[in-house]
Amino acid sequence: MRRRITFPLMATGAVLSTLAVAAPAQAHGYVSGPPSRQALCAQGRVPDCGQIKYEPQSVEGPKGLRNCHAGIAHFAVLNDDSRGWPATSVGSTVTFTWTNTVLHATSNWEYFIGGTRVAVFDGGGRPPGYTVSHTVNLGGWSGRQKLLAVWNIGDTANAFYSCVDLQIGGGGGPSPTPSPTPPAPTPTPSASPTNPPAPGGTWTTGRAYQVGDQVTYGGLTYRCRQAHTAIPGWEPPNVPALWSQV
Amino acid sequence: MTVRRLPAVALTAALLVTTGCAPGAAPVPPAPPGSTASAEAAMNGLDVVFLTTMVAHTERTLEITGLGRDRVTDARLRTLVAAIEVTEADELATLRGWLREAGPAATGGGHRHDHNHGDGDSLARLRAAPDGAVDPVLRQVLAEHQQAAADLARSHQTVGSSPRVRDFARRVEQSRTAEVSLLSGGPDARDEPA
Repeated sequence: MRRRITFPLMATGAVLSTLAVAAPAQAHGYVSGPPSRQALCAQGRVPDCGQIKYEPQSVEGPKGLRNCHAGIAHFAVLNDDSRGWPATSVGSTVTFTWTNTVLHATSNWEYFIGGTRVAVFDGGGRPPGYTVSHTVNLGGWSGRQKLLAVWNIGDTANAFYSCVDLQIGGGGGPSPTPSPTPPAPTPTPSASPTNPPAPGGTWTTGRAYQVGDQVTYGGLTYRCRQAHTAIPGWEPPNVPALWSQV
Repeated sequence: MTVRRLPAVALTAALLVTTGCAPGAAPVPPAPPGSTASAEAAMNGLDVVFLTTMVAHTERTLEITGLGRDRVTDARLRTLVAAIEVTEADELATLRGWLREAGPAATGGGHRHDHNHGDGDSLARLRAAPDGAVDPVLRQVLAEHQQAAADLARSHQTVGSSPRVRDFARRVEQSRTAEVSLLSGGPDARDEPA
């Protein structure tokens, strides 16, 4: 779906009338998927990026910039097209995901290729979640493209910038590099004891345990330290606040 | 929090970096000898970002549970809130330890924020809830807060590199999702005879 929403006059007025910058900066975020340049640096897939490796969410500058590094000198590597940034192969419709580490009122999100704004999504002046996804139609574009994603903050003069290198469709251009590393298989916790159950039986999700109750888990015996209902993720060896090994 | 109002011409990147985004606000105790190199090799930058965000999120959880703990009336809810509080207090200590191990290169440039996690209003709502009417407010506030952690942890599992951080993210997703279900009055535990 291609959206062409006129930038609200109200928001423009707000920018002009309240040029304010907060100390410390009030919001942070970056495009995590397809991986932006700063995400590739943070993942170590592109080496020697400098400090951006540890703060991909901090590419913050005044609204209206059209570069990849928000004009910040020590993030200049992000704007260096000669770094061989791997491009993610995508179809004509792409879902972009922002990972936001500090949340704040959002004016909107904008997406640019070259000088063209290819999509805009209204933020309604509300804070977003830790993750925000937008589906953008890139039907008019093909081959290798550098897309600039911008998160415009609602109540400061600032925005956050992420450049994403894409290989769109089957068109020409350099060969795409494989997209992000697949997740490792999720380890499955074993709930099966190898010993006969102690009094109280095997640890079971959904069961309410009281202080002093004993269970077995993974062949070991644990005593409940704090009353609770057992849930996945609270396996006895993982939550010493709830269980101590006997 | 103070807000500095500056003219547009002063909004240079350098100024943003020095006044708006000053790194290293939080002193970081030294890592135990010998642990830094291996920890840095194991964690990528996104692991550090995730842990830092989870520290702030967990601090907020403890604020919420601290405000609600002694005011809820439903016994089962009180038990759940207390269990969330002790498990997350433990997790917070663990996360801070991992960030210390990651060393100053990882944490020195990071940003520290004790506010603006998008749910400041929810703390106010919790404070404003009259006695006897705290339960539904706490259920809603905590469910929204924990759902955000589950979402964050789910998305991190595909991009992190450290096995222990990924394992932690998996447990966060599982436990917070289950907590949201319990808070929403979903399938609840029944006390069963021992």
